[in-house]
Parts: sequence; structure tokens; C-alpha cells
Amino acid sequence: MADQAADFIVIGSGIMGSLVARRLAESGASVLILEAGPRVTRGELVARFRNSPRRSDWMSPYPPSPWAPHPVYKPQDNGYLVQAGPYPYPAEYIRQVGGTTWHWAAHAWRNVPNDFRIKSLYDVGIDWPFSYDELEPFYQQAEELMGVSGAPNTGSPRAKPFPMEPVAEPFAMRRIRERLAGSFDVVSNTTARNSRSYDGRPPCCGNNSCQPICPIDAQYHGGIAAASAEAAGAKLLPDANVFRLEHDTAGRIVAAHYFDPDKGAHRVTGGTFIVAANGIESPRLMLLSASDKYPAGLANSSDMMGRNLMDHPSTSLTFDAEDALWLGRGPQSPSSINTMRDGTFRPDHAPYRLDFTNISRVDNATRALISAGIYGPEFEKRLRQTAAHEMNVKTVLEVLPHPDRRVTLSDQKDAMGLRKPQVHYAIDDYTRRGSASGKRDFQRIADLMGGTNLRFSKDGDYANNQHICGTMSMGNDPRTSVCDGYGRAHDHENLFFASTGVLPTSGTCNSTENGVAVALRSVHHILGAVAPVAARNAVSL
Amino acid sequence: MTTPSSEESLPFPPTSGHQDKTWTVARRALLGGLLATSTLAVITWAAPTPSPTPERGAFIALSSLLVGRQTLDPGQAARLFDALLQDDPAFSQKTAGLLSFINARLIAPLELQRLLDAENSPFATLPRIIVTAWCLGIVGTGDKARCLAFETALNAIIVADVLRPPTYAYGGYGSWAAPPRTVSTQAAGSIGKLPGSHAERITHG
Repeated sequence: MADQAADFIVIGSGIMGSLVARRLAESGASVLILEAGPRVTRGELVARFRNSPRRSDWMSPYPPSPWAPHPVYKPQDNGYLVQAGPYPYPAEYIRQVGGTTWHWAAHAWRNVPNDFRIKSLYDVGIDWPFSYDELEPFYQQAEELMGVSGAPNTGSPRAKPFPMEPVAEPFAMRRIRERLAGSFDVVSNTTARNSRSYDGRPPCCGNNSCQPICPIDAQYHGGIAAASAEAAGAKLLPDANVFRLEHDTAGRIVAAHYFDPDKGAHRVTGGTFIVAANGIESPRLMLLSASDKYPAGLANSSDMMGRNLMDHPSTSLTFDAEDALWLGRGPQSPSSINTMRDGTFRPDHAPYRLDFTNISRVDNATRALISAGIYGPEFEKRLRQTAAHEMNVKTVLEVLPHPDRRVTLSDQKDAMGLRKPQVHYAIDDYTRRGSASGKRDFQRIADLMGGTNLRFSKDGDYANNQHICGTMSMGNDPRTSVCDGYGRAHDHENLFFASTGVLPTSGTCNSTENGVAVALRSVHHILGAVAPVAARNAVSL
Repeated sequence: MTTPSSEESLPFPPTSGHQDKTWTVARRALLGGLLATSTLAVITWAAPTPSPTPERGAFIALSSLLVGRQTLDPGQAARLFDALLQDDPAFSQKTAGLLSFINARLIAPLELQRLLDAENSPFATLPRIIVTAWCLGIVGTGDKARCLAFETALNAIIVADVLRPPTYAYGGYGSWAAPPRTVSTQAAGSIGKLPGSHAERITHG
């Protein structure tokens, strides 16, 4: 196939890559998006979920493609993400048009302002290369693009109102808020979920399947972002698995090489390259692109590429509340306690958000009863009892950047002959002390809810939240960071990253909105600094 | 379509053990009658579903005992039976054997698994397989697992007065803010219309 070319080559069609592509295309530049995985429709995903024998496995509607695999762990680990330990990091992400936000809880939090200065304020982690105030207009842009609903009492100041009011509070969350009042302030989550018709999409109808798929697009996701990029004029090529970036003698990126599903190799040239292939696949691609000039991989003169892997580990408490709450009515993840997201304790232990689930308990309770051998009328009685009264609260803990937590290349290869990603991960004492504080909160919450049958997650066990960040960390010092505050690689003038991987710290909120806001700030910079040149040399697709 | 049983018309089931004991006595008598006649008069069979064979009848009877329901959907029963038989050609014999075992020993459902495990019974795996099929709609395990029922799986039916299966709309925007209305708080006329009427109420996404 003849080479294709564009002003901008965007690698990855997830929410960040697609929104960046949309903005660039709207400026009049030619944009080509290369997506490793296939196109899949919302209807197909809903059908896959309803017909899945593993409904609680939210990856079951998203099987990996042989030519562009992603990690899955059920019914067995497909071995794609190699674990180097010492603590497992079973990350989940989706390689298909639209990326991983096809299934998410749609939490669209902003950081709190002090998250940008934890080194200066608390002598832990690092500071961001810019302040909350500098990012604030781009948070607003992100919220308007995604359609975010929220209340102003979440600790993140704003210059303009949310695009929408908070989504109606489920009865269960109301009872929790009322019973905890005076001890804990329970607030509605800031979410990319419609509380009214917005941007041609309907308000939430309480389908309670936000993860793995909102069947009515009341929730924003990368598939919507990808469609908007195409509507703006970007060309999107699915099933194009980029395996190498090519540079010239000056270190500028000149081409992206990709495999089609039959392993036919193709070459695409462009003026500026934006890697938006998530916090694991992006550093993998940079490491796969090692050359004689850059033997440690591209954008890696600092040796920081892939390092500082962070996420949000969770501990949890499940118990039976006194009230009949009947979780499962309304959206899955409506309410949180934010009071521990920042404070003078941060030199000592990790901050955290406390997150209440509203996911139906029915399937899990059914499996538990069957496992326990509960048959006959007692089955129905106990199922209803659990479905009505069981509730769960979890911590969402900050992990600090550390170079030993990292993504590298495994010696194992995938079906395309490409080296698999390998992760090195650990939970440190800072996070463990945060979880101990969270456990004390759990007990108090259970007491206030009249809780019985308390089941704490096992000490030392941390669930993963798939908020991959840090692996292409931005900073002002090229010796300690991969890219600058605009996501531009320190080592390559025309290479940018749009990803949660650029976030220097993880904070306590789901990483997507931070990643989108930072990516939009990068686009703003690119359009000012790069696009005028690109427009003069516009390439037709 | 499922016809509501007398159990479905109850409010929240009692929390004491008396209910189960009373039921068990009744069920013992029932099972004795079933096995004596090899018929399943209490099972509602809706036309045009073919009459069950004795093997399928035994499956229905055992299922009824295990899931605590006198009425089970015949079409779903046929699909589950066929799938279970596909996984295990001896499924019919095992089902009949376990049913005979229960009847001979007059075992209460709540005691069944403990007893089978304690005696290393060859039937020990069977109840979980059958209850998983009915209550989760899933037959098989691992790579062989498949979903035969979702919104008509019994665990969805059991809570259908309060909850919708995931992906099905709960209702209009904000309807979830109101307190849940269970069968004990709803008008009697709205009870027992599931799953048929339930499906009609659902707003598809």
C-alpha cells in the first residue's frame, strides 16, 4: 500500500487521542488517527454483555483482537501483560475504536489544587509543571465536551458552572448521606453522565450498567469522541497496530509503521505525531521504537520512559446496612466522601476518596448463595435480603511516583511478534498507611449505617482501578521527565503525548478528566505553535 | 410465561426457620406423590410446549425443589435441560438419581449440599450446576460456559419487583430517587406479572 500522510498522525483513538484529533481537525489541519483495534458498535457491546456467561467480568464484552491484544484475566489470564512483581498489577484496558472509556464509571473529577504541589507543600511526590489555575480553563473545556454533571462542593474551584446539574441521587445514596450526616459529608460524584439531554444524547435512565456499557449513551465515552473527530474531518483507520515510530537524523519523527491484521506492514508519514495509546501501550511503543541513535527507545534520554507507573489501589468494606437500600437503582457510582483527598496528613499517609457503589448486588449474592449450598425457599429469602441490605464502600488511594514502578518490554512476544508489555509494581508504606486510615473510616461508616456482617477486604490486598498514569511523566527538567508541560517529548520536537501517562502524580480522582484537560491544553499549545506551520504545508489525505 | 406461585405473592419471606420447616414437610409429601406417579401435576406446562419426557420431568421436579419454586417456565426448562445434557450425557440419570435420593432420605433443601458433601456423594456437584443454570442462566464453566438466560434468570425474577436487570432502563430520569417499592409495598394487582409484563415495561436502550 502506498504511504499515507497527514499534518498530524494520532496514534490511538481513545478519549484523549480522539478529542485531540477533533480539535486539530477543526483547525483545518489534516489528521489521521491510527487505531490498533477494531470498530465495535454500542449495540454489539450491549448484546455481548447480556449474553455473557461472566457478567461481573466487565472485560467480557471486550475480547482482545489477535492482532492487537489487550490483557484479559477471565476465564483465564491471556498472559499479555507480563507481571514482574513484586505486587500484581492486573491492568485492564481496551484496544478498539474509542478505547477504554467504553467501560468506565464516568467519574470526571478535577484534582484538588494542592494535588499540583505535593512536593512543595508536603515533601512527597513531585510538583506538576503548572498549577491548578493554569489547567482550570481546560478542565472546563473537557467538561463541556464530555458533558459533565456535578455539584460545586467537591473541593475543586471553578470559574464557570458545570454544564449540567448532578445526576439525581439514588435513594440508597440519600439514606447513606442522611445517616452519615454530621460525621461524613457525602457528595454526589462529578460524572460525564447526562442529567438532561445534552449534545444529542439522552439523560440517564438508570440502566445500572455504566460498566461495562451504557446502552443509551447517556454516559460519554471514547467512541463518541472518535465519532466527533471523524465528523470534524479526521480520518480514522482501525485495525492499524503501530509498532514503530521512525525518526530522521535530527531526531524528528517522520513516520509511523503499523501492521494490519494480516501482518502486512504499512508506513504513514506526518508533520507532527501524537501518541495517545494509553499509559501502557504508549511507553511500549516508544521502547519498541529503539534505534541505533536511540538504543533505549524514543523519548527516553532521561531513562524515565515507562517509569513512575501509578494507579489507585482500593481496599473495601462490604456489610449489611440496617436500611433496605436496594443498590442497583440508578447509575452505578453516584456518591463519595471527599474529605480525605487533601490535608495536613499528606506527609504521613496517602490521601483517598471514599467511594460508595450502587451496583446491583444480585449476581454476586446469587453466586455466594450457590457456593454456600443454599437451596429451596431460603435461597430466595436470602437473595432478597442481600440485594436489599448489602452495601460497599472502598478507598481510592493515591500512589506516589517511584521509578521502580514501571512498564518495560517483556522477552515474551505477542501473536504479531512484538514484545509484550511487562509491569513492575509495588504498594508502599505511604499507601498502606492511607488504607489503615481508610479502614478506620469504614468501621465508623458501618456503625453509622447500623451495619452487620462486616467483611473487610483482606489486609494487604488492593484492588486495581485501571487509572494508569505516570509512565510518560511531564516535567520541566528533561533529566527527570519524559515530556514538558504541553506533552511534547523533551527529545523529539514533533512528538507529543496525550494520555493519562503524562500525569506526574495520581491524586485521588479517576485520571480521565485530568488526562483530557492536559491533552486539551497541549492542543491549545500545538495550535498556537505548530498548526500555523502545518496549515501552510497542508497535506491532503 | 411464568405463572406466579403462592410464594411470589408473599411479602418479604419470614426470617425465622419455621417457614422452611413447614415447607419441607409439604415438599416431602409432594415429592413422594411425584415419584409415585411419575407425573408433575403441579408444574405448569404451557401449550404449545411438548409434554415432558420422564427425564425432563425429573429435571423439573428437582429444579423446583432446589430453587424453591413450584412453577418454572417450561421453555426455559427445556433449553437448560438440553444444554446440561449436552455437557454431560449422564445428566438425566444423575438427575433422576438425586431426586430418588432426596425422596428416599426426606432431605430438606437447606441440608442437601452439606449431606452430599459429607457423604462424598456422586451427586454432590449436581445441585450447584442446576441452580446456577436456573438462577444465573449459565451452563458450563470456564471456556465452555454460556449464557442461556439473563432477564429471565430466576435471580432477576426474584427481585423484579424492585430492580431491573443491568442494561435495562430503571425508568424515566430520576425515578430511582424514590424509595424502592417491594411486593410488600406495591398494590396487589402489580404482583406476579413477571417476566412477561416486566419485559413490556422495560425501556430498551
